[in-house]
Order: sequence, then structure tokens, then C-alpha cells
Amino acid sequence: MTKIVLFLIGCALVLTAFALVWPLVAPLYAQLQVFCVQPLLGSELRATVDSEGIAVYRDEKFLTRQEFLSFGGLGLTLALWLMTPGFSWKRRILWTALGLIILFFWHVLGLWVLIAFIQALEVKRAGGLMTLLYSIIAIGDWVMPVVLWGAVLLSYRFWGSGAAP
Amino acid sequence: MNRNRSLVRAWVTLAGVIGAFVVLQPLLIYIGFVRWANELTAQLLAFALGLLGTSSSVEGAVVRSQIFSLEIIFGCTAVLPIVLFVAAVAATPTVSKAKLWALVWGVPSLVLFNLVRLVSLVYIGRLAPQIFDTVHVLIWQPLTILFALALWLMWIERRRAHCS
Repeated sequence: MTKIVLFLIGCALVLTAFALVWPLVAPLYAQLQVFCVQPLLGSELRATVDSEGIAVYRDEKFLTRQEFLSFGGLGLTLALWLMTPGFSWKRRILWTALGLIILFFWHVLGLWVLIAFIQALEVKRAGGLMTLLYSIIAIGDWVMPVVLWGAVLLSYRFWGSGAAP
Repeated sequence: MNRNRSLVRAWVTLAGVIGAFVVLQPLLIYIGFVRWANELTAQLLAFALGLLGTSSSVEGAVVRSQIFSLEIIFGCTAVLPIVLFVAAVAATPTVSKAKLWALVWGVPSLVLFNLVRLVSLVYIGRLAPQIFDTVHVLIWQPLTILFALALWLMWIERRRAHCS
């Protein structure tokens, strides 16, 4: 019980630290995403990083945006792997790195699908579908870290390595 | 061999419950579940603010109070943490009765925790509006999910203690 309360307090501290550091890191992270997505886009499309996030333009006309705040799953990943009791530091760092890499590719995929979708449909006519797509991308941002963490914890539970819970 | 099969079953259950929720999003919107969850959460928030002496009114999913007004969207409800908790409980190999019991105390706990989050956000919106978005999205949202996972860990600990 104490371990779990400490886990939650530790997670809150990691999330607070992440929230403080994120404004400094977010532009670099977004730039890295643009670097990965741009080759997949047509020549008329341009993804740039501005003060709010990643903005996508088609021939100077604004198409869509991914805000810096929509990458909050990174904080969740850090909190989960760094604060779960019972892991050795080696495993902890390994799973944190793997979790962040998987989430990075989810964000790249989400951005690419968003742009492809918005290109394929007229934005005004596809309002409901866009909301749904944004919702699925956002849910994925929170769900991906949890699924990976849950799968690893269940494995340790089955194989009895001694890792918490 | 049996252990491998059980592990795969647990993985499939975990991913299956969460995956079904993601895939069924359009249906949840279509049958009005999303709107119902948003409006119910708004009413609970107004009720909680009332208990704290802040009079407020609800119009659909919008809560207007003397100090701050906000609109509840699906991400503000306790549905996602509940789905994650249900998926984790369902994936854990134990008897059905214990799983049912976990849901009986787990789901209300998550609704209550989410309510604490929303009430605090109303006050943050009033007192420090410049950090509202950051606290809302980068701290409280993941913390609600982590609370769901902590409840699951707590339940597993209790099961382990009970069995040994």
C-alpha cells in the first residue's frame, strides 16, 4: 500500500518536472517529427514548427495543427517506467527508451494520418470525422504507454521475476 | 506451455478491451454515450462545486460558475481511466468474483478522483489561468490514468496478500 502511494507521489513529481521542462524540449521534439514526416508529404505540403506546435500548410494555406500539448503521453511514459517499483535501473532505462521510441513513432504516424486525411477530405465537410480522428490520436497517446507497461508487468507477473507490483 | 498460453491470453485481453474502446468510438458517439458521459460529468462537477460553496449552473456539458466556466469534453470524463482499469483487471488471471469486486470499488473511486481533478481545475482556472492548459493536459490527465493503474496495482497486492 505504501509502495503504491509512493508510486503515485513519484509519478506526480515526474509529471510536474516534465511539465516544467516540456516547453523547452517541445520545439526540438516537434522539429524531429517534422524531419520524419516531411519526406512522406507531397511537395505542395509544408510542415513547420511555430510557437504552438506543428503547423501544416498547402501552398501557404493553413491546413491543420498538432499542438505541443498533444504529446503529453511522453510524460506518462516517463512517470510509468521511472516510478514503478521493483525494476532494476538497467531494465527501467531500457523500457523507458523503448516506450519513448514507440510513442515517437505513434506521434509521427498520427501526424501523417492527420495530414493525409485532411488532404483527402474537404475540412469543412469532414468536421465530425476530423474530431473523431483527433480523438483517436489523443487516446492513442495515452493508451500506448499503458498497453506497453501493462504487457511488461503482466509478463513479469507470469514469469515471476520479482518485479513489482 | 500453459503459462505461455495464459500470458498471451492476458495480453490479448488487455489490448482487446482497450482496442475495442478505441475502435468503437464512432458507435459511442452515435448512440449518445459520449454526450451522456459529458453531461453527467458536468452535473457532478456542478454538484461538487455547490458542496464547496461555489454556486454554478449546467447547460449541456458546460459548467458556469461564479469563479470559472468550462466545457466538459469526452477526455475530461472518467471513461478512459475506467476502460484502462477494466482492461487491466480483466487481463489479470484470477477468479471472476474478485474481478467484479475490483470494479465495484474501482469505478466509483475513479469517478471521484476525476471529480477532484475537475474541481481543482476550476480553481486553477480562476487563480492561475496561465498554467491551466499545462496542468490540465500534462499533469492531471496522465495522473488520472496513473491513478487507475495504481488502483490496479493495489488490487493485485491485496489479491496476493489474500492468496498467500
